[in-house]
Formats: sequence, C-alpha cells, structure tokens
Amino acid sequence: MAHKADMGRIGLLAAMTALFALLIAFLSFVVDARTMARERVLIAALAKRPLSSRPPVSSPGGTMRVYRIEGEPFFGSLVEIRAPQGSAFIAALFSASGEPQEIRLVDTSPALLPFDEARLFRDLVGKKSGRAVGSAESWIPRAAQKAFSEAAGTIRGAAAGGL
Amino acid sequence: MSEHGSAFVPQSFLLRFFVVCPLAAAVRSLSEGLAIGLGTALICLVLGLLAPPLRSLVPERLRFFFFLALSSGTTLLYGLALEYSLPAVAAGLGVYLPLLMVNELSLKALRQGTPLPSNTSAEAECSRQSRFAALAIEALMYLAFVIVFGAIRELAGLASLSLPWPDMPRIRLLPVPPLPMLVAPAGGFMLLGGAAALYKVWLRLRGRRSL
Repeated sequence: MAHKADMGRIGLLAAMTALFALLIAFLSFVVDARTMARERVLIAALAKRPLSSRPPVSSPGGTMRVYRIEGEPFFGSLVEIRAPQGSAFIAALFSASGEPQEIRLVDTSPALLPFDEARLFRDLVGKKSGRAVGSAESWIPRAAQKAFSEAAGTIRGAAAGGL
Repeated sequence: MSEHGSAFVPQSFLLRFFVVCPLAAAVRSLSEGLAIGLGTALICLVLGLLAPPLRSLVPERLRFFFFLALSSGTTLLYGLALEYSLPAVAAGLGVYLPLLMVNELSLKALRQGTPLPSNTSAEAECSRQSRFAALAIEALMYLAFVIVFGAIRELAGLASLSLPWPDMPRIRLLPVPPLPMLVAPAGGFMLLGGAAALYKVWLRLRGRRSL
C-alpha cells in the first residue's frame, strides 16, 4: 500500500516536471520567434528592401541566422561582437563571398560602451560607412574580426546551399 | 564533501563572499546589475517559497535532483524573460546568467527550504516563515549590493550610467572615464578586493578582529 502511494507521488512529480519542461519549451519558441522577427526588421531596414520568405540558415553553433535579401545577391545577419568589456549587436549586409557591404550598430551592453562604427567597418573591409558613436578600444577590432569571419563562413555555406 | 561524508557548508561570511564573487565578474554596469541582481533575488525567493511545500511530496532519494531541476528551470525561465525583453543585456551577461542556478545563494535557499522536520506542525510553519523572511532580506541586500557595484564599475570604467530599457536616457556623467580598467573582468575583482579591505578596516575600527 505504501509502495503504491509512493508510486503515485512519483507519478505526480513526473507530471509536474513534464509540464514545467513543456512551459520552458513553449516560451523558448516564443522568444526565438520574437528574436527572428526583430532580426528581419533590422536587416530589412539596413538593406532598404524586403527579405526573402525562405527560412534563414543558422550558423553551426546556432549563434546567428543568415537571411537572403529579396531580388539582390546579398545576405543579412545580426552579428554579435563579444569581448571581455561587453558585447555589441551589429546588423550587417554581406555579399555571397562573405564580404561585409554595410553595417549598423544596433545595441551595446553596457549601453555606452566605446564604439566606433566607421573605424570598425574600415578595419573589416577597408571602406568607410555608418556614423561614429565614440572612440574605439583595441579589443573591438579583434573581437569583430572573429565574429565577422564566423559570419562570412556561414554566409558562404548558405550561398553555396542555395539560400 | 568532508572526510566524514557530510556536505561542505561554508561559514556565513565565506558564503556571502562566494555569492558575490561570480556577480562581481559579471556585473559591468547599472543595467547588468539590475538584471542579474533581480534574477538572483527572484530565484532565491522562488526556491525558498516552493521548496518547503514540495518537500513532503518528493521522496527522499529524488529530492536533490528534483530541486536542482526546479532551480535550473526557474533560472531558464528568467533567462528567457530577459532575452525576450532586453536581448542586449542578456547577451552581455552571457554564461553568467545560467550560472545563477548554482549560485551559492540559490543553494542556500534550497538548503533552508528543505530542513529536517520539526516536532509540531505549528513549530515547522513558524520556522519556515522566519527562514523565508531571512532569505528575502538577504536576497534584497544582494540586489542592492549588485546594483551599487555595477553602477560604480560603469561610472569609473565608462563614465556613464544607463538603465536597461532602450528608451531610457543614457547619461554620460564624466567627460573621461577615470578608471577604464574597472569595466574589464579583472576590474570587478579589484573592486571586490577593495570592498573586502574596507570591510576589514571597518571591523577593526569596531574592535573586532575576526570576520
């Protein structure tokens, strides 16, 4: 009888844990959908053109998604630059070879992290673009090179895969 | 574990130091202080509130795993809520956000929420309420500490103060950051070391030698 009661309690516990797991899974889908919607708006605003309706391609680590610009040989992504002093989100347009064509600083954390969009773009591709936000620190180009080289690899893969 | 097989439970001061160490590395600004401080306090309070009533439901041999799952799930929910509302802050905190589930304060909440049974139910209820109140006060103290700590780091390292909401004004208070190193991870530990030294001096001034 005691064994039966114990089994009942374990069953109830398992059901509660399963419900909790389902709630977390559902909320993670909601967050993912909102993040994708935000990325699409930011990239479309940068490209000044709508995005293709095809589903985006994720990077191998799942850290970024690549979108195709409708009717143009360009791809867009929201690149996260991560460094010990903080992180920054950059909306970027790439060619099919993975070369950045246009970038825009979206957000930084901490909020007033020293950041120079124009210098960053110059360091990445030897061109000038965007507005200056502050003076750049030495870590930004290194962290940006790493993030953009990962993005370029994903974009080359997506272009080869026919996105 | 000690050589007698019992769990290692740090003494009071050491435990508090264990709580603030990972927070000191993670919190670089007022906004990050608010985000991680609220997370720590919330998870600690949820665990402190849910653990006692669930204790009788969970068999002894499953208790540890169940409460660890509860702690992880609550941390995940908070992380998702933060990612939904403030993606840049969530990304900035990175791996430190999931670490809240094994934060020493969360583990303390689990330990306090799952005590040995008392002799009478009235005694157990009274003891549960006082433990929860103590936990709530402690969680709020950590929240205040982390907010002040983040504000000092941001002010010294970036010469600014910013709240996590994008629409809020981001205030630049000084023309040049006085101590840019404070915004780097090492800066957090330097500031924590300074705070510990000040605490030691304060203890000596009050005539106490030990912590």
